[in-house]
Amino acid sequence: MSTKPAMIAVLFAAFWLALLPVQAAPQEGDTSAAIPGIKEALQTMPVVRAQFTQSRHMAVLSRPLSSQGSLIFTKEEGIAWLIEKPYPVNLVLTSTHVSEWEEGEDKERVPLSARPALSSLVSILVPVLSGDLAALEDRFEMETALVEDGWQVVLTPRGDALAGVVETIRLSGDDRLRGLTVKEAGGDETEIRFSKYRPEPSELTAEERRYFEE
Amino acid sequence: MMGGVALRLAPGGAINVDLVNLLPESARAPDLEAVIEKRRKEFERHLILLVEADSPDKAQSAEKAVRDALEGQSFLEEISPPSRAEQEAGFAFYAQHRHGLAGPAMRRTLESGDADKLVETVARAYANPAGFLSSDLIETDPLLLLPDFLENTLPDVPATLRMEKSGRYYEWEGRFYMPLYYLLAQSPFSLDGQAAFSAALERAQEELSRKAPDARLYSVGVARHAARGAAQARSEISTVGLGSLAGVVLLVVCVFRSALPLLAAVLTIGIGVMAGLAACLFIFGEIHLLTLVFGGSLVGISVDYVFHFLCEKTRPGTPVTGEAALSKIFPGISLGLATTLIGFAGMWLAPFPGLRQMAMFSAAGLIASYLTVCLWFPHLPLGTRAVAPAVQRAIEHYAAFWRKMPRMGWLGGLAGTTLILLAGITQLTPQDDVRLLQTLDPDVVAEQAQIEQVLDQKRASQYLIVAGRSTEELLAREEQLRSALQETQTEELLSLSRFVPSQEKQQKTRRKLIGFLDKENIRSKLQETVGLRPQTLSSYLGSLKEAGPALTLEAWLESAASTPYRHLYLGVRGGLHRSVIELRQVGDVEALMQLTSGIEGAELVDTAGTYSRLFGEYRRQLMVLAALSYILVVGLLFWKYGGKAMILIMAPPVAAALAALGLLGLTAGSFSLFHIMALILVLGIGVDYGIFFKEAGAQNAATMLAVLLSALTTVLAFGLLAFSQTAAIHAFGVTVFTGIVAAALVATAGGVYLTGDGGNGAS
Repeated sequence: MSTKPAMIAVLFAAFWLALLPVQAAPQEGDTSAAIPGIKEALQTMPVVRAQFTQSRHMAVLSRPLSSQGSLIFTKEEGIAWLIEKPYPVNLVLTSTHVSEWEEGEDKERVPLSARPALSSLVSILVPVLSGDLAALEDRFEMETALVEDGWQVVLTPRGDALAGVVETIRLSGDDRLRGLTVKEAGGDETEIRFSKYRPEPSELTAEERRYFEE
Repeated sequence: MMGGVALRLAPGGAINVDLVNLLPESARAPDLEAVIEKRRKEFERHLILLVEADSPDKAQSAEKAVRDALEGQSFLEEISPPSRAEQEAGFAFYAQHRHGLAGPAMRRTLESGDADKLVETVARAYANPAGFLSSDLIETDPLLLLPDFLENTLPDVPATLRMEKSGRYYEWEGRFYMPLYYLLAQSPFSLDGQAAFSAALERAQEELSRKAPDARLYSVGVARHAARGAAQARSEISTVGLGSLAGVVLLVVCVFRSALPLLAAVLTIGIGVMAGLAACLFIFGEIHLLTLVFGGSLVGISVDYVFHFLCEKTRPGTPVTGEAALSKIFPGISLGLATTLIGFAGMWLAPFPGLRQMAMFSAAGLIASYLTVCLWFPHLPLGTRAVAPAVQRAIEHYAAFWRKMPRMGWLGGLAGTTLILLAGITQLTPQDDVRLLQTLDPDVVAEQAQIEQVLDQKRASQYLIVAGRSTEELLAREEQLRSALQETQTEELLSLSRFVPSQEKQQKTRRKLIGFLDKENIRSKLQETVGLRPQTLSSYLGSLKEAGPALTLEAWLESAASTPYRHLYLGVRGGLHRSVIELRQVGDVEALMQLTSGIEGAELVDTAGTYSRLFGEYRRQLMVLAALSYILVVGLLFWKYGGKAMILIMAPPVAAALAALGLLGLTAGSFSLFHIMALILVLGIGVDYGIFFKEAGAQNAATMLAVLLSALTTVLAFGLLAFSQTAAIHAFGVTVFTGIVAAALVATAGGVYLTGDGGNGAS
C-alpha cells in the first residue's frame, strides 16, 4: 500500500514545522475597521477561567472525538488546558514551553517549538483569550460580522506555514469568546465551546499557580 | 630560536601540535583503534560559529552576514540543516517502512499481549490534544504508531530554540543567537587547518563588524583549543629558549669577559639543540611542540660542561693547558653526565611518546654538548683571561658566609626547615587528570560551555562503539546495550538502532500487531472506543500482512532520512560492522564499563578517563622508580667513595627532593607523575654538584664557581618552564627550580665543609 503524500505533510507539520523559517506574511489588513466593535464587546479579564467541550469531526472516524475539561488563562502565565474526560491529563502552554502530565505524575516539559501544532494553537488562543484580535491581523485575513447576539470572525491564514493545514478558523462570542472552530484543509473540523466563565478571583489562586510552575 | 630552527628543519610540518600524540597508544585492537582515530579526526574538523545580538532580527541578519562572508571558501564547508524537501523525503521513507516501527511504550504494550491496554493506549493517543491528527494519517496508520515512533526517535528539540514568523533563533538569558555549522577541510592540528580556521574567524569577524557592529561572534571546536595551544606553546618556546640563552650569554660575558668563551658556549648549546632535534626527527619522524617547549631547558643544562671547563681553565695560578683542564674535570663531568642521563631514563621508561621525545631530545643534546666539550674545547684557544675579579670576590664572600656560620646555627636551621618541609610533604595528594598535558584556555572553555547552553547541546566526552558481523547483529547488540544504559545512569544522545530497529524487533512488532488486529473483538473495541471504521482497520491489517521488506540499515543509509545521522555508522572493517552510540551524559562510568565488557562487540571510549587512570598507574610506578633511583645512586656512591662522602654527595639531591615536595605540599597540595619524573631528573643533576666537589678536591673555588654558574642557568631554564600553561611542563619547571636551588645551596655549603676549607685554592 502506498503512502499518501498528505500524510507526509502532516508528519512534517507535526515534527518539523517549527524548525523551518517561515515567510513573513504581508502586513495589509482591510478589516481592522470592524475589530473595534468586537474589542468593545469582549470583556477583558485578568484571569480567564472557563469550561470547554471539544469535539473533533473526522471523515475517517465514525463519530467525533470529544474531550472536556476546564481552562485557566492569564496573559502573563499562559494557558492551562485541564482535560477531565475521556482521560484526565493536564496540558500547560506558556510562551516558550509545553508541560504535560497526569495528576500525581511528573511533568513532562518540552519547548513549545517541539510541538508546532500546539504552538499554532497558542499563537491563536492567546490573542483571542486576551481580547486582542488585532494581533492576528498580520497572519490571517479577517472577515468580521456583528450578529444579533454577538460577533463572529472568520480567519483565513495568509500564506504562512498554517496555510496548507488550516483552511479557516471561526471565532464567535458576545462579551466572551463562546466558540472556536478550526476547519482543516482536508475537510476535518474541530469545534471548541467555552462556557461557565468565572472571572473571580482576579488573581491566580495558589493552587492554580501550581499548574504554571516548572 | 629553536622554534625557528625546527621550522626550517622541517618545512613539511614535522612539528606536531596534536596533544593526543603525546599520549600512550591504547591496548585496543588495531581495527577498532583505527575506527576511533578516524572518528576523532572527523570530529575535530567541526566548527560551530554563534552570533549573539540583542534582538532576534539582529541575530538573524548577523548570521546572514557571516554566512555570506564564508560562502564559497575552499577551506571550509557549511553543514546546512536538511531542506524541507529532504525532510519530507525522510518522513516518506519511514512511512513506507512503518509496519514494524513503534515507540518503546507501545512496543511494551504489544509484547505484554494485554488487549485492553492496547486499546487504551490508542484511545489516549487519539484524545491527546498535543498530538497531531488528520484523516490521512488515521487511514494509513490508525493506531498512530508512526508519530509515536518518530517522537521517540528524532532528537529532542533544544529548549532554547524559538520559532517566530521571522524564522527560528535561539534565546538564552535574554540574548538572541543564531548558530552556523562548518566542517574544516583540513585537520585543525595541521598548519593549513590552523590558517584556514583563523582566516574563517577573521573574515566572519570583519564582515560582522561591518554589517552588524553590535553582534558578538563566538566559536567552538577543537580548532579553537588547537590554535590556542599551539600559539601558547610557540610563545613558550621562545620564552624558555631565548630567555635561557640570554641568561647564558649574560653570565658568560660577565664572568669570562671575552668573546671566545661566549662563542664556545653558544656553539655547544647550538650543537646540543641540533643533536636533540636530529635525534627526535630520526627516531620519531617528527617533533612535538611541547617537546620543543621542554627542550628549551636544554640550553640551561648543556652549558654546564662549558662552565666546568672554563672555570678550570681560568683558575688563577699556574696556566693550565686545555688537555690538563679537561683531564681534571673529565671524571666529574662524565659521572655527572651519567647521573643526568639516569634522570632522563626515568622519563624514557614511562610509555608516553611525548615524554620519550622530551627525554630523547635532552639526552641526545646533552651527550652532544658533552662530546663537544671533551673533543673540541682542549684545542680551542679558550680561557686566556682570568675570571672577572668582582665575580671572584663574590664567590669568596659566598664561601666565607658558609665558613663563618656557626655549626649549631646552620644545623638548627637545617633541622627546622626539614621539619617544615616534611609537614608540607604530608599535605600532598595525588592528581592524575589527563588535563595535565593539555593547555585548555579557560576563556575558550567558558565560551564552549556558553555555546553548549545556548544551543542546548549537552554531550558527554565518552561514547560507545558497537561491532557486529552483520548489520543485524550490530543493531541487536546496540539494542541490548541501550536497554541497559539506564541502570548506569547514562543517557543516550543518538544511536543507529533508534532509527533502524533490528529486523527481529521489527518483525516482532509486526507479528504482534497482526496478532491483535486479527481478533474480531479487539477490532470492535477499537471501533467502539476511538470511532475507527471497520474498513480502516481491515485495510490496515491487510497492509500489515502484505508489508514488503522491513526497514534495513542499508536502505536507511541511502535514504534522505539518514542525512544528519550517517556518521553513526562507522562502516565495515576487518569483517565487522561498527557503529557509535553518542551519549548525553554518563552517570556511573564504572558501571558502564562493566556493562560494555559484558556485551560482545561493545566498547566504551572514554579517552580522558582512560588516560587519567593511566596517569595514576604510572605515577605509582614512577614513585617506586624514583625511590629505586635514589637507592641505586646511594649504593654506587657508597661503593666508590665510602659512607661519609656518600652522605655529603647525596645531601644536595635529598635536600632538593625535600624542598621540591615540601614546598609543593605547602602551596599546591597536589602532585602528579610529572613532579616525580622531575625529581628523578633533580637527582641526576643534583648529585653532580656533590661529585664535582668531591672530584675537585682541594681546589674547589673553581668548582664552586662552576657549580654556581651551572645551577644558575639550570634554575633559569627550568624557572622559565614553570611559567608554562601546560600543567605537566609547569610541574617539571617548578620541581627542578626548587630542587636545584636547594641542591646548589646545600652543595656549596657542603662543598665548603667537604674539603674543610672552601676558599684556600682561590686566595
